[in-house]
Amino acid sequence: MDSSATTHNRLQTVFQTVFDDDNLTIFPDMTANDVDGWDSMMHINLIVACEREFGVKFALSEIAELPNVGALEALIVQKLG
Amino acid sequence: MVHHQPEQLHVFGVILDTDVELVFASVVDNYENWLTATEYEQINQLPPHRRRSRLAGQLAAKQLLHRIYALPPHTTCIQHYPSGAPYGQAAEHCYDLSISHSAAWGAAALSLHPAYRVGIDLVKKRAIHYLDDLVAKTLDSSEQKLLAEHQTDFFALWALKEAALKTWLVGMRLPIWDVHVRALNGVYQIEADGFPPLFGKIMELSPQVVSGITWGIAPPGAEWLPRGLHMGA
Repeated sequence: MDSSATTHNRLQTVFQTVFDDDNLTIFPDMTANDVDGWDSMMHINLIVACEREFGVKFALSEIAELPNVGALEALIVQKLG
Repeated sequence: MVHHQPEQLHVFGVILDTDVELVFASVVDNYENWLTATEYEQINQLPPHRRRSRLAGQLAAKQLLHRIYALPPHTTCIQHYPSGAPYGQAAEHCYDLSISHSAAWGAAALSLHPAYRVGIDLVKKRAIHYLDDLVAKTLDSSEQKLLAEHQTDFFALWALKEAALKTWLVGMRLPIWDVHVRALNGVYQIEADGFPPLFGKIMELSPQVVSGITWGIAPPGAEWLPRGLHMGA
């Protein structure tokens, strides 16, 4: 089982890789408005990156209902059991 | 008092008449008198990166309305349908529009065709990590074959698909992987179950930016303004 801290760190690394910014720091209320370049393409890119990193699959309804990064992290933790 | 830091913005305007035509491609760095006070207020509430791209899209739309209908930019206001799709309003006239923006680039499209809507999407080319996974998720086998045969690139296909979502007035409610691009004798056709097929064209607006333009009949019941012009409040 992945600890919450580890999941958070791994998710942060995913964001840093996708947005090519080693200084990017994620936080629970973070949304697309907070990150330059986070458009629809990057959104789907984030999703596939998370699927690859964590070995999970997201349903379309799950992706559509994510209000912020905190919700994404919680969903990943839930899927990791 | 509203404040903004003028930036150099790249704006493009496209019309659909008998064909798709690029009306202008220009750089704007002096737009003090282009926005209404309300638009300035709305723009200034955005984070800097959103402000820049939103401005680029709005300025492209205003310049296009100015070029086609001789409307002074400060007299037009970009509004949105309940669906989120944009239109331009000047006094009692409304103009169906499609707008796209990315970083410092903005594009607008206007249909002069009596029956066809037009959609435009602008994509900034960039390095994509996990590109193989993104391709596998969003492109079908036929589209992947187009890439493999170098007939087009991923960004152009994405731009066509997003433009189609705008033309159909469905936005992100339809997953992009349910939109299919077909190339037939140099012409693109865009399809999705339950939606009328569209024509498509790719325009390389600059080495860094590609746009997809799609056009066709709007889905039945979709809210839009035929002919790009509507008389009435």
